[in-house]
Amino acid sequence: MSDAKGLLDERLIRIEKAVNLEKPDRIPIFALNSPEVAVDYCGQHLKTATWNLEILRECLPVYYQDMKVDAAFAAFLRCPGMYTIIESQNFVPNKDGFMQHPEVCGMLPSEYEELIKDPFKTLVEKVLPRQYKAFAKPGMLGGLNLAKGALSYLRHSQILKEIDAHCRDTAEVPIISDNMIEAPFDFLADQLRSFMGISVDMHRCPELVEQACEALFPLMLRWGVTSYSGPPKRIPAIFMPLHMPAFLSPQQFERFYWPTFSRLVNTLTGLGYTVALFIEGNWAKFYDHLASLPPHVIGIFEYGDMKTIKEKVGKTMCVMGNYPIEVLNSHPTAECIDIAKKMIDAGAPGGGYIFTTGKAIIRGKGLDLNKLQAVHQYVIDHGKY
Amino acid sequence: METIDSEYLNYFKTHAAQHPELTEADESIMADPWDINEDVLLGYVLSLLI
Repeated sequence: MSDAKGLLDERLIRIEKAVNLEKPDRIPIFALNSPEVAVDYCGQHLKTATWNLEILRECLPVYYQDMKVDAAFAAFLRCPGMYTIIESQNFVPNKDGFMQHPEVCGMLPSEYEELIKDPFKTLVEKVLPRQYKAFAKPGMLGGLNLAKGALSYLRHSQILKEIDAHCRDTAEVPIISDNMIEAPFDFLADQLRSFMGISVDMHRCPELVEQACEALFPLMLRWGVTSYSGPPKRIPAIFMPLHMPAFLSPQQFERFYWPTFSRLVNTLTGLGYTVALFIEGNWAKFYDHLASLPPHVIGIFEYGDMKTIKEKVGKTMCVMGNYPIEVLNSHPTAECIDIAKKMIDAGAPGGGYIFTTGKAIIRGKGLDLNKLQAVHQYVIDHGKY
Repeated sequence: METIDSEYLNYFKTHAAQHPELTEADESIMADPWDINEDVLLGYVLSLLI
């Protein structure tokens, strides 16, 4: 802690080199987690922490420091205060305060034409009042609730940014993502049409699905640019979790997902940003597509064979992820380390590789985080180039 | 950069259609749909749906 800026800079350089497909001094370690696990790790009560973010401010740097990580993403926590006052249907807290996301449908199939004509208006007038019942209150009350939610959103966003700065200053961990957006198809599927709805729509009204993705593209692009803090930089990156492709056939992927997604990535990287993709599920059938994306893309892989991933996409994409977190529960420490060894043997050669888990660690329960510490220590000790 | 054609975000254009007395000079003052408030509004609405 005596040379905080030195360590922070050292870690940032390590990460930047890997993102630029170079060899850093050693393999960087990234914390792929949600803030809730830090609260569990520090023995605090999650429900209290989600209402009192001061607890999160105390816990998160401790978690990063103890896990010996080189970098983390911006803290993303759904605060129940906001979701409760606006009567959310799509995000609801469970008994211990963790936010659950039920399958929800915010837009009817008959409303595709409206969405295509004026997507923003349709989101505000049709989708939001279904997902947030307080916005559907009669008269001015609905509008007042919308404003109340906005104030809460701005307040929480500001506090989370301050917590990121606190982690950077105290745990010397660079925060390497800034904002988050979605691919147009994922945005359409997630909370507008739902998983089930979009699955039917691709068969019943494929042209409307295509047009809806095109209509949503400008919103996603504009959101990516305007919610980023300051002018474009390579680090921090814009984060995009990719939800649906693992459930699509190659034909569906090429027709519905790829055109607006790849254009979004191409445009953002062309403007000077780095895009960090959380590649959910197994994308083995789409590796050639990923390999055709431009430089300045980070791929966080949930599943797949690391050697194949590195061979297929590693020439242009910084590769991360893939470490199976379930072994932290089921395997002895020596085997957890052995799995990490095999993974870095496959991913690290040539640089452009960052060690992290294949899934975000969201809760401390059911995982032995001492084993994660041991795995990270192994990477620190044996991951030198 | 892509523009977003929306009755809500392009509020001047919608408003001006009902008020022909407004001039181009008024538009230059009011029509920028991407001042900070519009950006925040867009971010707020979209963040509620991811």
